[in-house]
Amino acid sequence: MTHRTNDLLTVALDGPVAVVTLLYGAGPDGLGRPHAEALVRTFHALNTDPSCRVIVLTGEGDFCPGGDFSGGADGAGDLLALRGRLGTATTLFRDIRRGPQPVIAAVEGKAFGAGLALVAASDFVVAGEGASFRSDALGAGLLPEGGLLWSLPEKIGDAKARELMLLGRIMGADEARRCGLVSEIVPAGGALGAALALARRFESLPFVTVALVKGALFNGAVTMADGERMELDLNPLARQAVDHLEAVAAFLEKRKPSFVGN
Amino acid sequence: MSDSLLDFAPVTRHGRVCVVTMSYPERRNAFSTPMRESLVARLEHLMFEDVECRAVVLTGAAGTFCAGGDLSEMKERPIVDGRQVFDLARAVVRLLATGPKPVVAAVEGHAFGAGLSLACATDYIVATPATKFCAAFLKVGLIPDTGIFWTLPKRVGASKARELMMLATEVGGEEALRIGLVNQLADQGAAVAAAVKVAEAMARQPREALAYLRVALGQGSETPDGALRAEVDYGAALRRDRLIQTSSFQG
Amino acid sequence: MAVSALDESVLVERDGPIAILTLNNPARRNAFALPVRQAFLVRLRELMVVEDPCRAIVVTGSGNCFCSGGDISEMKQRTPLEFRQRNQLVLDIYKLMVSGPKPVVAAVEGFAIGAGLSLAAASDYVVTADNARYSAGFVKVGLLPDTGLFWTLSQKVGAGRARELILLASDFDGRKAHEIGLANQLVGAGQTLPAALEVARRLIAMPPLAMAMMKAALADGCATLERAYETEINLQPILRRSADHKEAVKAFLEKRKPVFTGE
Repeated sequence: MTHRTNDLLTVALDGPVAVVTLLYGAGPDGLGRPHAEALVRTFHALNTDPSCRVIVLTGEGDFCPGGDFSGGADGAGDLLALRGRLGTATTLFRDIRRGPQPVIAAVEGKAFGAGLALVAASDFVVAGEGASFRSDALGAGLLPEGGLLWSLPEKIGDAKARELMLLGRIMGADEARRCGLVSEIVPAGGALGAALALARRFESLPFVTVALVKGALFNGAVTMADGERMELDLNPLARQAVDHLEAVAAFLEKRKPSFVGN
Repeated sequence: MSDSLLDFAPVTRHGRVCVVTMSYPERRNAFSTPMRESLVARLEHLMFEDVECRAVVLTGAAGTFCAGGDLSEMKERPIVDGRQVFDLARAVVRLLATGPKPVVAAVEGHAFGAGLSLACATDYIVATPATKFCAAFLKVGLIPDTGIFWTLPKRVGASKARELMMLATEVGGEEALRIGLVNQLADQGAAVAAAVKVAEAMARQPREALAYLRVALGQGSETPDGALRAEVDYGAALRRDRLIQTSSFQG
Repeated sequence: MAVSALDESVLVERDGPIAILTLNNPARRNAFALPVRQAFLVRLRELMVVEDPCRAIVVTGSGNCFCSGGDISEMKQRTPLEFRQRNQLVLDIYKLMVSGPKPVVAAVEGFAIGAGLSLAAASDYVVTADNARYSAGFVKVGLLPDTGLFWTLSQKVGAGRARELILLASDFDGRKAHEIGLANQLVGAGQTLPAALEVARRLIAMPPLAMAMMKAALADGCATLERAYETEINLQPILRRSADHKEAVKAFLEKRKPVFTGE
């Protein structure tokens, strides 16, 4: 079942898997502010949809040929209006990272500009051979948006992140896998299929626990105390869940568990 | 500061790139007190006063980068005085890591102890296959210093950093590249030239955005919320400047 | 130290100043059941903080298996408060491993699943057999990671990969563990203990006080640049006055091997 939300993106629901596909039309601009707003609305809707258990994010053709989340000349010079506009990209980052569903990016071709932020925000990244990645904000006199200042060093380390952000260098799929940005490389054209296969693996895991893990991981385990608090606060809750007791029973009875989501 | 102190870190110019060379060859460019004073003076000038300078290369004289702290200086001090000694080293690291202009390290020969710390505080490290890196601190009964507790794990991951610091293992150029400690290898004797090239590419980037990006990465991105705040605060300022420059306010 | 007959589930053996701490219930693949956790904590505390001559600790499992994780047959309904108390026990174990004064080397053969992975990740250095099997496991039985894994795994493999491994609980082998940085050294099956002892011998050659301070600093002193400076300034002037530092400088100038006492 597919609904074409508008000419910016489509959302296709296939059982528990939602596939969000970004559309760029024929224009040269790539991703723009309207896409960012449509993505925020889409993620808000999916994050509160109990039938959706995992989200695959991809692009029609290129994952994202370039562009940024908050461009546009209107509202010139008004600092508060600009701050509000930039807030859209940070909201999107929070929704991807803190929403209950794992997010898998399926990348073919370019993931440039805002596209790299979407990739780095995702929990898993599957890329076709020939995929390439670039942060080009600095060259335009801007900072990267959509949480990239956090997510890129987090995924690939500070040295590599600075190299990409300061030089605007294009990184290929192999290097992206070696440095930890990409989880899996498949032949060109195969990223979406591989992402869907990965998504199906979440069907055998208790959704409520996956959601708790995502919430716990949002702030990162920067200090020992962070990690301890996550573990001590959330595990006693997870142990009250029906799905935990079902998983234990299924293990001891050597059968497949059947989860209900709470 | 007298001019003679500045001789420990002379500056040469390659267009908009300034090369700072740690020069104390008798002690393999050790990070001695006069070296720290020279570096602070030179870097403060280049970072904040010199408008021609758009990027910095940090290197060492006579084919080596820096052998670390000066053991001949390591005399017994009261603990309180010992704390003061760190202020200069801290100033050097702060200038390298969060100053407004990008810094590329050209590392030949040895980068040991604080020498490794200095390289790690830069944006980009060029080394050669013959370069040797070592967090040698523990071997002399000290813990790692000069900011390396923060900078090394960010480069190579906490696990590798722990290994390098606890065992004081020497790492060659090739391995340093593989583990992400260095960004690029050049031929022996050619690290400065390669570093200048990288620095020139950085020097072409917009000045203000570069400065904000370095501050955001160095100080603003310690938590996700901090990073998102930097994105909105600095991003809005940069966008406004760009709009002012390109359209409405000029007409 | 004599091994108590009552408590054979965790063994302590000695190789000079190196203590070998072995999970010893091979019939259950060294499952981290409650009595085992309690015995492990007691042994570890004796080695780490009670006056003990050991200078480094090697953690391993008997029967060519490291640790297969929590005992699922123990997982019963309890109140959240009871679970918090039980969880505190494994947090104490991980905290001692991470921030205790002596370095810990893990020798991993066979399985390192769930809490087994946590124990490996809480070690300072991991030697893995190429065919060892790892998995975060927890989420498969509806649990979040424990025994400190949120922090230690992010530290070892980066937060991005840690998120992948925790969310999907995928199995991976020793080669992959080495590739992603969880393991420091890859050896053939059956070779991990001698390799771990070799690493431990290098670690005991280091000055003990500086080693203890470094472990404390790495545990809780380098999350931000300012924090790292504070750590240096608080600890380094003390070390500069230590006998070990003076001995190291003297030995360096005299071009001989230093002899450290921990003072």
